[in-house]
Amino acid sequence: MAIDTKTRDKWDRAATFFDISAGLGTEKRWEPFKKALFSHMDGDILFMAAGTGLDFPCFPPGMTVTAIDISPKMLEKAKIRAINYQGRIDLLEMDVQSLAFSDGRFDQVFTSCTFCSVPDPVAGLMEIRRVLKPGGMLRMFEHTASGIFPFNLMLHLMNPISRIFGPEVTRDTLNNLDRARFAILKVENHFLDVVRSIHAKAPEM
Amino acid sequence: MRLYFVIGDLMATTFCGWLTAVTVSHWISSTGSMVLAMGLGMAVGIMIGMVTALGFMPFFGAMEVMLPVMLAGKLSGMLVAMGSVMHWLPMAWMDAMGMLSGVLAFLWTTLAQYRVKDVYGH
Repeated sequence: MAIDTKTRDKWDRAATFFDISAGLGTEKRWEPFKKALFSHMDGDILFMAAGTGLDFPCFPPGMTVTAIDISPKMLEKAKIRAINYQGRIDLLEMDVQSLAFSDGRFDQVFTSCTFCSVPDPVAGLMEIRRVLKPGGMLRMFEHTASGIFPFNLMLHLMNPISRIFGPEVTRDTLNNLDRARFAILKVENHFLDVVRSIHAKAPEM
Repeated sequence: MRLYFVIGDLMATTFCGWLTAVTVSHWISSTGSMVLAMGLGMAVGIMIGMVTALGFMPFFGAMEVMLPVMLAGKLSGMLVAMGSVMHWLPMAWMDAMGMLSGVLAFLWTTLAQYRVKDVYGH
């Protein structure tokens, strides 16, 4: 399976300071929302874009999770958190847009700030739909574009700089889910209409 | 924990409002044109907001810090530039206006947050 080397190199560079920039205030702020989302974990689970494994302590204990990331340097840092998890986490280097899993393999897929970084989000979501069982659940914790002035203006001003070093901040993830033919069941807004938990379902057939 | 973040957000927006006011009142007030001053003030404020937010984000959050802080910079830049050109207040008071802009940005974000909470779900 092909790897997007440009994206991989960007996140390899980001891995050095990732825990400092995202692992303190941001994680503490988002922890209750992530724990609530991950409490739905059940069955055969795929976790997208594991990064340095900051999310692993929010997983309920006893799960068996396949976690992927495009960056080997991020995965290297995630190893210790995977070992400390009270369950099983298998780490794999893989591109969200090109998953090396058979069709209908997983019961549920979870993402955490993933689709701000996937270059072609609709292609990535269609790959997730492919590896999900028919009617399987996709549960996402994501930051998206805002529909509220002046916050939408701020996000569009930030985006050209933000995308160079890390994520895009103007993604229309709900629309992308529609385009990938997911049914959106529930959206929970945690900060404005920007930081959200999204519960979506793959088509039954 | 909630109080920690409220204090952090308020500190970040107030600091950005103050820093923008100091910068704008000293460098932009000499433009003479109110419209130009307001435009420049907003642009400078937004840029100061972006840089300021980077310092606060590791401790208090990502979007939750970045957006209100940039709004604080924008508001402070606009109001202080306008006030400076029109000589509303003594220069020393402009710093206070910048800090007040920071508090307003915090309140604006908090009110917007309550309006959009749980937009839809079944």
